[in-house]
Amino acid sequence: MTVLLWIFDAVLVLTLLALAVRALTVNDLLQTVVLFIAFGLFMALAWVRLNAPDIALAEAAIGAGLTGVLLLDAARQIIASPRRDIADSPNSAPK
Amino acid sequence: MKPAHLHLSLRRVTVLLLVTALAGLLGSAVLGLPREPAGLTAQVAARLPDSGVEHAVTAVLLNFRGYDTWLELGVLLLALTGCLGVLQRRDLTGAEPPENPSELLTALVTILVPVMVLVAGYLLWLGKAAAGGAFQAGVILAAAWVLMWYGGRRGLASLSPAIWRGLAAAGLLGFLTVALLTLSIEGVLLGLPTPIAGTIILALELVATVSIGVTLAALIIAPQFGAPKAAGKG
Repeated sequence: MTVLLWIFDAVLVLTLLALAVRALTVNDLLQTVVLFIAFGLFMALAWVRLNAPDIALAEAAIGAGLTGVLLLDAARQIIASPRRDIADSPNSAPK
Repeated sequence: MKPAHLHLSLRRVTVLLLVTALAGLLGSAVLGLPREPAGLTAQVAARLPDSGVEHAVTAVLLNFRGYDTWLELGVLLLALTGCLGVLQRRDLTGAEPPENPSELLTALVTILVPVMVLVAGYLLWLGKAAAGGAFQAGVILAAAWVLMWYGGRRGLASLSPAIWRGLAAAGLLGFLTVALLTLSIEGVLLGLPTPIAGTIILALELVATVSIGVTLAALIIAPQFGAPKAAGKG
């Protein structure tokens, strides 16, 4: 049983790291957001394994759920808006 | 003007240095942690009977460190105010949910929303004795409102501005009321008297849940109406 839990934890940690790296490197906003949501869900599992169910609930609900929706929405609007040069100051109106 | 590649590489080096420094700091902080758990577990456990609830986390969040939760509600309200300020809106008036939501979504809303409200209430009540509480319940409430919104129902936006703004501020104001009362009667800010502490905590959690739900849902709904008719442009 302990061995199984060790394996579970190892897989969990590796998954978290892989998801984090992938979320930061992937070159597509929507994919990044989806990876971030997946990261949040696995993070919630990690909190459960750390005996912190309260934080796990909050992480799943706020970290993965709500932030996910906010980010998805923001990503959709960024993609839908006319492309701007990143070097422009954020305050300058789109041309 | 500097060549672009030089500019970029300089920036990259700076970022790399900063990130390395941050990683070093974090690493040294983790390595510097005491081997033995040095938390306040024993103190919390000893005073748990005085807190009015049976769950240590709720006791800390709503009683021993109620001050932090109070300020957190203030932060949420500030976030909402900031969001509305950036959008140059005063409230959700004129917000219209997406037209022609999928039938699956409209059907789901009628089934899921009542269950979600029930679950939110259950989590709120459960916070007294186990994992749960105002934030989790509030988020589920917010999710219900957001689901209704995407299901083509105005939900939160159909409330009058005065009412939903009042609800959004209720958590902060509830804590303020309790703080003033305890300060004037007991002489301790948020020092809840043990016999009625449980009731006060439940009341605070109730208003906090509603505030959190309203605030988070409004954060998602508020930017919607200024948005271009989504899929068509692009």
